[in-house]
Amino acid sequence: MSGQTVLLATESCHFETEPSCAFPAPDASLFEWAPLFTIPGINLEVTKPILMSWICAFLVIAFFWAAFRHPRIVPGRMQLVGEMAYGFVKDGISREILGKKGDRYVPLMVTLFFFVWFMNLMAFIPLAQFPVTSRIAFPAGLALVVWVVYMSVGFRRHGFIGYLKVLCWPSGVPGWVMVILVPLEFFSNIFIRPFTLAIRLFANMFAGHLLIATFSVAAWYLLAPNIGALFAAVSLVLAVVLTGFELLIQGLQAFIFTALTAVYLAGALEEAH
Amino acid sequence: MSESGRRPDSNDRSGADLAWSIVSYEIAGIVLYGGIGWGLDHWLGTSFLAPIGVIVGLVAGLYLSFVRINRS
Repeated sequence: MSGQTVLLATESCHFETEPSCAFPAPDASLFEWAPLFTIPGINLEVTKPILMSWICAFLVIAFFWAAFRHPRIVPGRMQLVGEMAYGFVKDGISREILGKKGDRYVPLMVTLFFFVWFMNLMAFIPLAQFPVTSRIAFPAGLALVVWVVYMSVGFRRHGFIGYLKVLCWPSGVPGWVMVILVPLEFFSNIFIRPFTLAIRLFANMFAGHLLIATFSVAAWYLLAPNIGALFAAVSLVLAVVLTGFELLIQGLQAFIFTALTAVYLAGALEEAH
Repeated sequence: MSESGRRPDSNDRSGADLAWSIVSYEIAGIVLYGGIGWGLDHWLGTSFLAPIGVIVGLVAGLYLSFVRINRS
C-alpha cells in the first residue's frame, strides 16, 4: 500500500482527473535524500541534510565571529545581539541549573543551543524546508558529544568508582532493594539518558515535519470545484497554523536539549554524599 | 540521583527533569528486567519470566521515581 502511495505521489495524480487516485499520504520516504554529490578521496556522499548541517555550523560560527571579533566596552549592534544570545543561555540555562560552577561549560551550551536551533529552523527556510534534526544521526551525534562530556566531567570530579557510585547508588533506600535498583539506575543513567536525549529531539522534529507535509498535500489533493474546496482551505489554514506552532517547538526543543545537558552536567559536578 | 535540581532556586526546572527521569526509569526498568526475563526464558525454555521481568522493572522504576520525588 505504501509503495503504491509513493508511486501515486510521484505521479502526482489528483482524484478530480483520476477518480481511482488514492490520497498520496506523505511517509518516511519524505526523509530520505539521494546524495547531491560525492567528495572524492574520502568517498563521502553529501546529502541535503548534511549540506544544511554544514551551513548551520557555518552560520553559528559566522554569527558569533561577527559579534565578538572586535569586542568593545560599549558594544556595537552586532555585539549587542551576540551578548544577548550568549546571556540568554548563560543566565537562562547555565546559571539557573548549574550556578557559577557551570560557567566553564557555557560555551558548549551556547554552541549546542544555537546549532540545534538553526538546524531545526531549517524547516522554515525556503528551498531548505527540512528540519535537519529529523534525521536521527544528527541528534544522536550531539547526544553522544553530551554523553562523553558529562561522563568525563563526572569521572574527573569523582574518580572512576566515585562517579559510578553517584550514577548507580540511589540514597534513602533500604538495603535489600538495592539489588534490583542499582542495575536499573545504572542502565537508566548510562544508556537510556543519551538515548532519550536524541529521540526526543528527533521525534519532535520528525513528527512536526510529517504533519505539515500531510496538511499541505491534503490542501492540494482536496482542492476541487465542489465542497472539497472548503476542506482544502481548512487544510491550508491548519498547515499554516502548524507551521507557526512548529516555530515554537523548534526553539523549545533546542532549549530542552541544552537544559538537559546542563542537568546532566549538574549531576556530574554535584557533591559526593 | 543527579537530575533533580540541587539548588533551591531551580525548582521550576527540576520539575521537568523529574518528569523526564520518570520516563527514563520506566523505559530502563522494562527494557532491562523484561530483557533479562526474556533471555532467561530463551535459555530455560520457559515463557513466564519475560512478563514477570517487565512487571518487576515497572515496579522498580516507579519505586525509584517515588524515592526521587520524596527527596527533591
